[in-house]
Amino acid sequence: MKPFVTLLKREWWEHRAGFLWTPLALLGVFLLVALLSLAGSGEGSLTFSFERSQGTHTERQLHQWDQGVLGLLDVSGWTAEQIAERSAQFRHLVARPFLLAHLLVAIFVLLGALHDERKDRSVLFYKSLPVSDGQTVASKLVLAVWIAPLATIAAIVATQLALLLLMSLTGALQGTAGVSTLWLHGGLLGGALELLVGYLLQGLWALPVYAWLLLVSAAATRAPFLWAALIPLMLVVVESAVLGSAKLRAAIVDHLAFRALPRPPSWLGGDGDVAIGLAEQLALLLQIELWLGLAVAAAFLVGATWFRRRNAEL
Amino acid sequence: MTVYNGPLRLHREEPRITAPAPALIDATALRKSFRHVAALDGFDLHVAPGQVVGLIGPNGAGKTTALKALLGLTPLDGGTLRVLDRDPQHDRQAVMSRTGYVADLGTLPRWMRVTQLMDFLAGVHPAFRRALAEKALHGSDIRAGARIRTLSKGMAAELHLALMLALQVDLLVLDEPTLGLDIVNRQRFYDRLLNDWFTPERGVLITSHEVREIEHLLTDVVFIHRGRAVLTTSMTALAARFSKLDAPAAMAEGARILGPLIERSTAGGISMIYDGVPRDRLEPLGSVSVPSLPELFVALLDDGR
Repeated sequence: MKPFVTLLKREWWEHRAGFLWTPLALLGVFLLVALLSLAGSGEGSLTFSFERSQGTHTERQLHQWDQGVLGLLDVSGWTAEQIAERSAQFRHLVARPFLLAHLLVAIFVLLGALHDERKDRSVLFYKSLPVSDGQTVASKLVLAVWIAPLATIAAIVATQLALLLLMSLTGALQGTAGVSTLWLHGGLLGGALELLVGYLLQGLWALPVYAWLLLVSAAATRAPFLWAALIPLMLVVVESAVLGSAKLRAAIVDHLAFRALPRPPSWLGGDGDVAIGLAEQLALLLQIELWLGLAVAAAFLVGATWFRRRNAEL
Repeated sequence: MTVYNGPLRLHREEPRITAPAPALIDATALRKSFRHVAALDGFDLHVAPGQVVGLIGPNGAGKTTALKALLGLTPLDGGTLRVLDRDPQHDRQAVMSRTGYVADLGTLPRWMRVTQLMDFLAGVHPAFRRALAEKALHGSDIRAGARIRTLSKGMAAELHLALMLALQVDLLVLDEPTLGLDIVNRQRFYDRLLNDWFTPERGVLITSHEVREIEHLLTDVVFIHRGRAVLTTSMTALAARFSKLDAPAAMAEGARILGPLIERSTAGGISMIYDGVPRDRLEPLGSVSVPSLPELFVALLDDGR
């Protein structure tokens, strides 16, 4: 056990910048934006001026921010359900950038994991140690998929608490009713639990994607990013040309999506937008797609280990 | 105190004779090709406890491929291989827990700090003795908090070797271990290797292009050429078998009759190397010595052509 823990530590040391500083930087951005917009809301109105960009993506995001965060300043007259729903939206609004950032960092870490060590030849040093290739591959996967997200989750919860605290203080100063009720009825604890469970399950759900990245990282002699993207793309094109179907594309998109991460009801109000809570998360375990994905992931990981054993340097 | 060390001593060594320590490396007829070019072509190598074996050969002779294959880093096309009584191709982890290997001194992870490197080794290598590594680095310019990438090439090499000599393992495999080291650190490394690390229970397999530098450390030598071991001998047997004759030009005819492996003309005379010619037949012709390894290597390979 000790060697594996050491391998995990090694991974963490190497990628601390991505896995720890990225969420901390986002936390800082959130606080800054919150302070600026609260300062601007002193005249009683939210003073983002986006008349010129009606309907754009930015506009929608600003609207979400107004609604989801600043809108919580005054919840007088809301029912408990409304508060719970708005709170869930608020938590989701905060969590989303963190989750996306973590996904990006994890993609790049895993793509580099078994490639960079061959490029800088440090693989020769690692292979001079009594560590099996299977242990190495497993440590890289476990850290990026299940351990590093804990830093992201902690940063999300910290940001949510910090924003609520900030607005509680502002609310108290402005004399508006409400934010404090969020502390009681906002489901903060449940939200944190959903995030935690969500990430554990999301790791399983997206495992074929992560394992694919490791496989390419171990196999490619150059440009792992291109291979990782081009091979599935080619297969998707071939499938649609030959069979006229799009099953592979659907499967890839499906497993890339945040299926297990908590989502509030009526988020963005889009079609097929379903709320995801603890029940939906656990139900994922019953889906055959999850287990098929795990089987594919296992094959990819065996492949990654095989290449790690075989290829020493570039 | 007088010690009778005739038959009694033989008797004492008897257990060793009846149950010899298993060879550290036992490789027979190894084969490996890269795209139809044979890197190893029936390569044999045996390393026993108490041996310091030098693997000597020109660039491209297969030295590095041989070492990598011995440690399970390169799949083989044929041959039988046991290292520490295991198959390194399938059981690399077990082999490496009792082996130190330096493939190249530029391979320490550049982003790591010296302390992290030690924490890491202490965590994954059961034979790593951190105190030994720290002692070896004491007094050097290498700071514990420094990142490897900030160290000079020489300092990184020094660190790498200090870490390897802190492994309480049975076998060290060193591929060009002093490349990039200055003269002082080379000497210090070889001193530590022989005086601090080496014991009669342990073995070393070493390559170096600076053959003269390792010559005096070796108990045994293997010449490798085109993927084959063309000469395997202990240094004492080598000194008994091969002779170098430096003689005046007038003696050339007499020297040629004795069948030298190679003949070179030197300032004011000739220099020849002989295989298996008794010294007393050479001594009347000029001064006789033991050829150096590079001289012998050239002589044997010219003979092979």
